[in-house]
Amino acid sequence: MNGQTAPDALTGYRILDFGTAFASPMAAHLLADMGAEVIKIESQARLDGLRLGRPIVGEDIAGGDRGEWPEYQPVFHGLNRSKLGITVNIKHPEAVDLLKRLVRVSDVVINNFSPGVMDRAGLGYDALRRERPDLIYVSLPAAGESGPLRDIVTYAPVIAALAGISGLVGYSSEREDFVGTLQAAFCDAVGAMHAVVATLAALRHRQATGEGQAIEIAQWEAAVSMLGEGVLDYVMNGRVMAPVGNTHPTMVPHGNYRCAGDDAWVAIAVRSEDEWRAFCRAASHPEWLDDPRFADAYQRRRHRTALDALITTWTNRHTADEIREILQAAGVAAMPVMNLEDQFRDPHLRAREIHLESEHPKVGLEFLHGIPWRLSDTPGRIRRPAPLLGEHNQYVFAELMGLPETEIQRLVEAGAIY
Amino acid sequence: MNAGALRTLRVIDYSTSIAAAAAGKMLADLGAEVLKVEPPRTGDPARYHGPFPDDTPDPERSGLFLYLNANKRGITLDPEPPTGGNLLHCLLAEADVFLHNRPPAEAAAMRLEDSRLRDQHPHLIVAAVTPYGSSGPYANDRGVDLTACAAGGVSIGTGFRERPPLTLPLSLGAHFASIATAAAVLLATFARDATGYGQFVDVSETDVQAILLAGYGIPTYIYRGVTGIRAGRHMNLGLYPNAVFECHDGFICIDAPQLAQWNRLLEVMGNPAWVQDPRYRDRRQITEQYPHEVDGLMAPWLMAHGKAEVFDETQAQRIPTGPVNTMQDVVNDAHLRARQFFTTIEREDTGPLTVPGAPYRLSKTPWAIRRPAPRLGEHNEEIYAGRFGVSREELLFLWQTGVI
Repeated sequence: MNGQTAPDALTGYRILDFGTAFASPMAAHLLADMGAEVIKIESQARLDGLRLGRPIVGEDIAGGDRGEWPEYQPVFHGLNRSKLGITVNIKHPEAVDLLKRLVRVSDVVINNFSPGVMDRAGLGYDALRRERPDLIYVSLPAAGESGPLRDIVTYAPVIAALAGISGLVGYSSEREDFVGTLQAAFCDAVGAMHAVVATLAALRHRQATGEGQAIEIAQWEAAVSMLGEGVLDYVMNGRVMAPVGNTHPTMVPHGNYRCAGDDAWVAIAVRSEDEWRAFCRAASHPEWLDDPRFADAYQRRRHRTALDALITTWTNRHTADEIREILQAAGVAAMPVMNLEDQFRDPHLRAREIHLESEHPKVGLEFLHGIPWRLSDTPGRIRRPAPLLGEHNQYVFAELMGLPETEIQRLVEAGAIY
Repeated sequence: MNAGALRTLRVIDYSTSIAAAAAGKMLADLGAEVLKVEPPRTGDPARYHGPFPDDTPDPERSGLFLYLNANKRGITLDPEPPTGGNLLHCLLAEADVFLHNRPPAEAAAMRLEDSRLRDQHPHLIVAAVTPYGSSGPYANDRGVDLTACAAGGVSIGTGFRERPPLTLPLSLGAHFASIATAAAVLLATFARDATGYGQFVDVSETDVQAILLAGYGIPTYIYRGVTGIRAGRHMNLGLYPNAVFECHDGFICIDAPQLAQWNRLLEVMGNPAWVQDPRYRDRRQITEQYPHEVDGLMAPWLMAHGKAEVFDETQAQRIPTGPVNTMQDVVNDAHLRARQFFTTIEREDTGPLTVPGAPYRLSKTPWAIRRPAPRLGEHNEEIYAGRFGVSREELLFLWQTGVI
């Protein structure tokens, strides 16, 4: 499918992204990639944290956080591509009126401020729906807008801890085996995708009825909604799940095994007795089939440690890619445990376009994360690089909203457009 | 009760995986009419997964199945015999979405490839969520959650550096992909509004992780060669402290990158003498070179406290921290209880079961549990007789011969 000529799923929808950091910006870029016109609302008065700090693209970029650095942040570019950008200082008295006028021509407002921030700025749902009765208003507070912990400060790893996810990450239930940390901002992405689902559902409802609504996504609750199995084991049996490493309740072998190379590993999972036989033959160890310790899944589970050690003597002599080929040819699940470099080079992930090239006016060619789903006819695309600060002020204020040039100039001088 | 935002969307959920079933659940919980199609006699594999009440196995009381299939109606069908195939096409003619989890070769062998289905039903959105996606060199490779987390780039970053990488717990990779699947299906409905045509929605459990979890870090690999490897309880990048720390009764996550947050944390800890040492000023350097050394300096204060105390004292100073909660802590959490987050699913044969509630709160069309998960074949008569005029005698025959 040719991304240049394909139509877009969300053509005609306009979304205002008040978000910073991860969750709201990620939700908004996913919608923008799929065709919505997303306007990121920023301000020089308080830059998105991902614009701050010394850029990784070069040690010699002039200026610092008040200089050129904010335009050279590839992670920011990834999370804000496909959007237009305007600068409005929402704390300025004249900003509220300006943004309300913009809301009148928009379909969705999304933010991930702490509870109360948008309300105090005069930009809460009740204020904005008076401007646009069918508005979809999406908030992504960490713990929600009510409850005793509504005002806690968090980042994604804190939410993973609160939600019970971190508590399941480790090699066993022993204290020294506990890990608890995921390198990825798991709960930010979970919140972002839930925001996309809820926004689209609300837009469908609006299409059918003309009715808008407010959507509150507590990122903590969105994360717990993925843990029904763990909740039910406690509710049904009083059992408090503990980390189990890479073991699986019924599949043995099931784990990440060390391969030839530096920190090289391969994931192997055997789901049935047929696959176990195929595995032993493919590994050129048919004698494992005759070993009573491994006679069936029950025996293999009892002798898991011995089995894993034996498997490692085999995997150790091959690269992870070799093991994948050998086992997949025999119909057994195996994949290299990939790091970013492996993923960047892997032929399958390249074919799947998990990284996309994008041209940024300051940085030049960049590799950014791709689009997490493939729609055959409306695939979406990176529509434009992330906006420079205030890049689209002219388009939004003059063309879209029809403000006279003198008025725009006055708002700039007053510090509302800043 | 409100009918839900997606009340006009009709979904056939022909799935045997957590990722696809959970995507169907998300749509059903928002009001879509989702019909779960299970293999005759055995039913969905999730019926054998558990947890079971009192650890008593029973395919009608598997927690995973009950959780993932609430709000769905359920029928049994084997689409391979011609009569089964005809019935499937009767269902598809009335549906908006066909959701399944078959890799392309398997789908083709079952005559369920998207091109065939959409030739016959041009309006239909066909969605497949598979371990590696429906195109590319590994499309037909065997896969489970473990292997998708491996290729997705999450495992390599999880665990201790000298020990094996860890996969995501509790099939979270599949749950993660399910959200993308629900989103992608809804996106396709917007395209269909404009064109009248359905399309193929291809979601890969690997891709979703590789893009939204590992992928935004690709610039750090390109520019700094950072490949995202694991660092135990610490993050491998960023400003210390960003890790999980031990207290006397458990663990607490502390993530305080801003200088003001770090200074407030030092104050809460009583401004220990070591903070004067220049070695502990460059917090990026601490993360990358000697986090364990500073862990040791923080340990006396942390081990003198419980995780709830550390949480209260630090949050009072607006420092981002959170206790590492167990499932028991989560179910009994006062905040989640005050928000009435948990909800109940109930069937005669299980009694009320507490389950996680709404991941999002829509003011006009709330997320809601409207019906419990179906018993195996519970709605065969309603669907086959009620909609397609199959007689009771024919239904019996189809059941006896394993078609339904």
